[in-house]
Amino acid sequence: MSRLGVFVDRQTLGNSEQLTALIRLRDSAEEMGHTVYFIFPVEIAKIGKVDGLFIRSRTDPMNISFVAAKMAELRGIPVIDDPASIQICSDKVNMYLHLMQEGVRIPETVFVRKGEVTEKDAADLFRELGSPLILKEPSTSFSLRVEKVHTVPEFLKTAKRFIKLSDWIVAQRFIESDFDWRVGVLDGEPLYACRYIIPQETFKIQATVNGHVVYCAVKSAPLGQVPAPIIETAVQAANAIGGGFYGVDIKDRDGTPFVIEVNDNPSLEAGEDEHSPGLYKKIIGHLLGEGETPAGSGPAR
Amino acid sequence: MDRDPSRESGSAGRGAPPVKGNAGRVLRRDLIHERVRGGLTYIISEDYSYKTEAYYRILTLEMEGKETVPSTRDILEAYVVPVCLTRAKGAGIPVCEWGISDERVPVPSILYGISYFADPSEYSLVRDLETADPVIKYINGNGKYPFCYQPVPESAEIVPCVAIFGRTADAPEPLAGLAAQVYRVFRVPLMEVISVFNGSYRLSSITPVRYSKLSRDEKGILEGILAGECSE
Repeated sequence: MSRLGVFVDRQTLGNSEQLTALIRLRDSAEEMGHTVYFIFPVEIAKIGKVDGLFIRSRTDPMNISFVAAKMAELRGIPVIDDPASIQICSDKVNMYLHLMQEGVRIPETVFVRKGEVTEKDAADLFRELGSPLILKEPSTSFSLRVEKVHTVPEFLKTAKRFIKLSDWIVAQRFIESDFDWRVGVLDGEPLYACRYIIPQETFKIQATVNGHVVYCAVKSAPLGQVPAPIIETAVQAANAIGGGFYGVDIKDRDGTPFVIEVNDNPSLEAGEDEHSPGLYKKIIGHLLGEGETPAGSGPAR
Repeated sequence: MDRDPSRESGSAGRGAPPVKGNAGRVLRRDLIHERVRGGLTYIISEDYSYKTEAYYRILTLEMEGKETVPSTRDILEAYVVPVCLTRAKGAGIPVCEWGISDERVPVPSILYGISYFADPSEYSLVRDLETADPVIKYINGNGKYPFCYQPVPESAEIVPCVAIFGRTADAPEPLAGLAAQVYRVFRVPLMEVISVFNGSYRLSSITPVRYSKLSRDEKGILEGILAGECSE
């Protein structure tokens, strides 16, 4: 039938869970009658020969996955993640601007510019957002460069580190929770849900504590058991970004959902989709246009 | 050309007073100029790179529904070398051949990093395998990131050329023509067009250019445009 390209790199193949997820993807495509080609960065020219491209490597506008997405887009090949989704989701400033524009509820957020990393501005922010507050360098992923700060000196130390990597950084009101909801959304349709249980040692889904990396536990949940406001908010947030495939992280504070972030290229290797066994087939069907509108290469919505 | 509202901003923060455009200060380091002409908002900066003040200024204007020159999309397409060459080739611009590697390259080649830490201004021409090795280790982060290579003939010459709204100060006609074509496609008001000359010019990359690097003639062109004395 069709040729599905899966763009991978060394990091994608770095552990057995990721390999298993890729094999499940390949098996699903083959059961649907498609041929799967794993495409590595050095073979990027092969993108022109596939009918749809699914990127399974870390995305950022400055790395090779963006080149792959652009190569597909410029050739009119449907691609997940499309370049615009990568551009928006990889940059927390861009992502929050899109969420704010569409009225999606997020924790109170302030963008801090290079010239505003001062004692006075820090004190103003604590007054405005409370203590502790969360600082994020916009390119953070897997909770890297996300820190909780309690005092002005802590703020200055962390902000000065982050501002070397970006002229704007993000400050947010801290919302405490034992877990984050993660809802997977494809082209506006919820596909799966799970809880990321925050490790007791940290406030993040992944952190280095005393030299050891601690990870969140993942508990898959049937969509029917997820509170309706969580699903509705996830779809609203995903639609604020585009028509691709996203993992929306939400904190529930006393029944009120707050979107923490929208991820393009969401992880699928930790059992997130245990209660949604047809997930890969839906993604493949969407990309290759089986009985549905093909994904297209743009995020228009 | 009409003289629509214009402004200048630096990266000094929310409270920084606007700087009046006058000789000697117009091209102060880090200054970002904004001009609205014919319904388009032109942003002039010495560095439009991802996550810089200029990038975020453009992004916020886009979110307000304004059409900017350049757009954030233009910037990313211009500064990520393989994307730049693919888009330029599609628009009929002669470009260097290129490939992606994670280790070995044919020599001589021009090398560009493709990673979070890459900057297209930091390109290297490697002429033999011995000198290529340390350069490759640097740009691939000791094997972590793939990179872009462009094989070039032995006799080829790398020719940088500053383009201001597509105009050049003293470039020969074929190079001036290439710079104008590149501006029409990528719409980066201030850029350095890196080309390879081997009987004809081929685009290699587009990089930011500091005001301090501009020649007197180039500064004259830019200041004239900012003052509305000549058209973009």
